[in-house]
Amino acid sequence: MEASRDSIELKEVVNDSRGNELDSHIISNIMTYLYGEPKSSNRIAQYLQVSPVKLQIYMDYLEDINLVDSFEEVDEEIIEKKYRVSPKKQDLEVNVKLTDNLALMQYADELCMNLKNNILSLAAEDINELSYYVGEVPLNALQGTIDNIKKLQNEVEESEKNITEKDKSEKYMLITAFIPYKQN
Amino acid sequence: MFEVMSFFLDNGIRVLFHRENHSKVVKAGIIVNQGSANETDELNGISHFLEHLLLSDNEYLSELGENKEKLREYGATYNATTYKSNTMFYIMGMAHGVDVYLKLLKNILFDNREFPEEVVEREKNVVIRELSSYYSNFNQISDRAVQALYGEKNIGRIVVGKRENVQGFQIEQVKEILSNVYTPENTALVVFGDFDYIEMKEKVYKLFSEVEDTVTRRIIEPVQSVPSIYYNPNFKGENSIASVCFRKTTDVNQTMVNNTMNFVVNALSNGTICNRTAYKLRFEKGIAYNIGGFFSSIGRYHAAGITAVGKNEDMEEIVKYMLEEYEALRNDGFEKDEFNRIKQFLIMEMLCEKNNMTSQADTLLRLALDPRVYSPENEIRMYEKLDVEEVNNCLKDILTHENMGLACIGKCRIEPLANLF
Repeated sequence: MEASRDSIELKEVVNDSRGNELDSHIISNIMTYLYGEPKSSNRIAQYLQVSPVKLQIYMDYLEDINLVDSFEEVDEEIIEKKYRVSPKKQDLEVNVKLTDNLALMQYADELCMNLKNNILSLAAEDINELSYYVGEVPLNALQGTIDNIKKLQNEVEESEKNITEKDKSEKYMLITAFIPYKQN
Repeated sequence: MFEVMSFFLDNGIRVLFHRENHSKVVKAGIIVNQGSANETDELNGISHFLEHLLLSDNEYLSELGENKEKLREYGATYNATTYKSNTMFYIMGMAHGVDVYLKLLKNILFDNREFPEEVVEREKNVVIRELSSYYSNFNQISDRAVQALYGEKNIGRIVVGKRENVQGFQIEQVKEILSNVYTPENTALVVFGDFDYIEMKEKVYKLFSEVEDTVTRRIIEPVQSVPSIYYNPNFKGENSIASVCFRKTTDVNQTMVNNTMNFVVNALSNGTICNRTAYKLRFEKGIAYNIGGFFSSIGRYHAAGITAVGKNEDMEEIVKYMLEEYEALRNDGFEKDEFNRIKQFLIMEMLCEKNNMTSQADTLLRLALDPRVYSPENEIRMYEKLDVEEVNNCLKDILTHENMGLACIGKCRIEPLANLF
C-alpha cells in the first residue's frame, strides 16, 4: 500500500476560489457520507439536512479541488447528478474537525475495514503473532506525533525502494492508530 | 366573440384563422415546434441560427427575394423569433397583400433548403454579436434561473446558444434539422384579420398542400432531478442581480398550476398591487430596482421566479426579503382582498391585450400548436372563476423548499445567499 502524500487542512471556515466561506464541518460530513456508493445531491442534502441550493456551493468547491467528481445518470426524463469521492483521492489524508456522531462512526468503520482488509491480506503468510497499539496523544503533542509518523512513513518508503526479492517475503506491516485528546 | 376556425391540411399542417371584423391589416405567421429545448449540447443555438438563415436573402431561391420586395408595396414587415419551445415567423401588412404574405411564408419555411456559404458566415457573425450582447447583460437572469431549477438541457437551454457552437455549425447540420423538424405536421399556420374563411382556406390549401408530408424527428432531453443554484461571479460592477425561483413538474392540473404561479409572481414582483417583496425592496427599503418576475413553461415543466438588481453588499438582504415573502405565502396564502386585487390586475392586462390586434395575433400564433384552442374571453372567464382557497392549496404544494432555486449574476458573495435557503 502506498502512503498518501496528499493532505488538506480544514479550519472552521474554508475559503473557496470565489471568496465564499464554507463551513468545514459540512465539508467533512459530505466527504464522510460520500465514501462508498455514489450519491445524488438530493440524497446528500437530505442526509445533511441542508437545502440543495446551499449544498451546491459545497459540491462545486469539492469538485473544483478534485476531492469529488460527479457523473450523470439518466432515468427516462430525469437527470440525476451523482457524486463520489474522486477515485484518485481515496487515500487522501484529511485533518478534519469531527463533530457529528454519524461522521465519527463512519470514519471508525472505514478505519476498521481497512485494518481488517490489511490483516486478511496476510492470510497466506506465516504469521505467529498479531498485535495492535492504541494510545492517547495529548493535543499539544499531536503535531509532533504526526510529524514523526510522516518521518516514519518516509523511512519505510525509502526502504521499500531498496527492497530485494529475498526481502519481500520478510516484510512487516506497521499499523498505528492514535486518538488525540484535549488536556484539562 | 373570439372565433377561431381550425383545421388540418392532408399533410398535417395545422391552420387557424381568426376574423377580426373591419381590420384593414392582416397578420400571417407560421410556428414551428422547434426551439432551444429540442437541441443537444453540441447543437445548442442551431434553432436560432436556422431562423436567421431562413430569413436571409438567398440567391438560390430568387422567389424569396422577389416576394420580400413585393412586401414593400403593402407597407408590410416581416420578422421571426426563436423561443425555447418553438420558432415563429410572421408578416404583418395591409390586408390586400395577404397572397404575397402567404407565398413568402411558404418560401421561408418550406422552399428554402440551400444556403450560400457567404450567407452562412454573415449570419454566424450576426448571431455571435447577438449572443455577446445577451451574455453581457443582466437580462439573462430569468434564463439562468430556469437553469438553476431544471439544469442546462431541455427547458434550461439558452436560445442563442454558445459562441463556439455557432462558429462551428455546418451546413449539413442545418439541413438535418430542417429535414427533421421543419415538417408540415410540426408546424401551424395562423392568419389574423378581416377575410372570408372559405376564400382564405382555398388560398392556404392551394399553396401549402403541395408541401411533402415527412416524418418529424425531434430531440427531447431530460431535466435535472432537483433545483439547484446558478451563479456567475465574473461580472464587473457594483451591482448584482438575483432571482429566487421555484419550479413545478406535473402532468395534471396544469392550468391551475400556471395560474397559481402567475399569482405568486405578480404578488411578489408588482409593488403597485401588493405590499410584498417589490414594495418592500423598492419603496420601504430602497435597496433594489428593476424588480421583476418571470414565468416559463414547456410541457410538464413550469418555472417562475422574481428578480431584483441591487448593490453587491445588499444582495443578502434582498434575497432574505424574497425568501421571507415566499415563506409567508406558503404558510398563510393570499388574503381574499389581495387575491381579488391581483385577479383584477390580470384581467385588466388580458383586456388590454384583447384590444390590441398585434398582441392577439401573437398570442394566437404562440398557442397555435397547443392542444387547447385559445380564446381571450375564455381565459378571462377562467380567471374570474378562480377561487382563493384553491389557489392557496395549490401554492402550498408548489412553494415547498424542495422546489426552490437561486440564480445570481455579479460580484456579490453567493455563500451567504445560499445559506438563507
